[in-house]
Amino acid sequence: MLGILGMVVWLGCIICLIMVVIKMFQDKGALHGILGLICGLYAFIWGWLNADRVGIKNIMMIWSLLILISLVLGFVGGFSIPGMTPSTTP
Amino acid sequence: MSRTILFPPLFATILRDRKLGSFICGAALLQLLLTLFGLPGWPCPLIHALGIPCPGCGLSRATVFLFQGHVKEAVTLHAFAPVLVLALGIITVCTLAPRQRIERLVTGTETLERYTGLTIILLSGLILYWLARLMILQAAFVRLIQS
Repeated sequence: MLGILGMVVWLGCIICLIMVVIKMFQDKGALHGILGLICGLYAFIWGWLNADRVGIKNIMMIWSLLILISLVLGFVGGFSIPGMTPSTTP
Repeated sequence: MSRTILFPPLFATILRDRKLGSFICGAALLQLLLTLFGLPGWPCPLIHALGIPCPGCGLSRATVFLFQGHVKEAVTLHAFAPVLVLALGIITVCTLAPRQRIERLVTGTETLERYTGLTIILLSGLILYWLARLMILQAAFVRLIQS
């Protein structure tokens, strides 16, 4: 159950990341978009700093909430990666 | 077609934006400290959802290894760790130093980017490096990230 929930949360995170990266491509150009795709943390920071200007506040709030849920679920069930330990960070 | 159109600057625009720079420095410092103490840091959605490491997977730990002086382990884990350390160092300097003092550094970086396409080369290199590890050394790559 937790595993399925975890997978849904992570897929949600990927969707939010892609939506922010699309905004980065449109607003800052291809290089920033590629950097956002490579480094999710950069996309997250850029997203929050420009949330109001590019109109992605809701996406950023959902993304932040999903990350929070994933951290809580990680502590509760130690789910996360298929066949991997939950401590993996980039 | 002019070179200006061919190679748009990326790093220089980050250096010019002090607010973005300060957030990047803060987030990077927090991430490195969490990694150093073995605590969960910024989670990679790609590896968690699909089990595939992203191009940046392993960079935090490689950077921590580099700061600890374990160069071989750092480069084995992620070859771009020295590039990240250098980039973070420049961003930190440009965020903290007075604007007049860093103007030459930022302008120089922009010129270098525009005329050499260094950022594009590095980003392409990172993607090629990731693809090579993913396709040729997939099992070893995943094991390395798991470790």
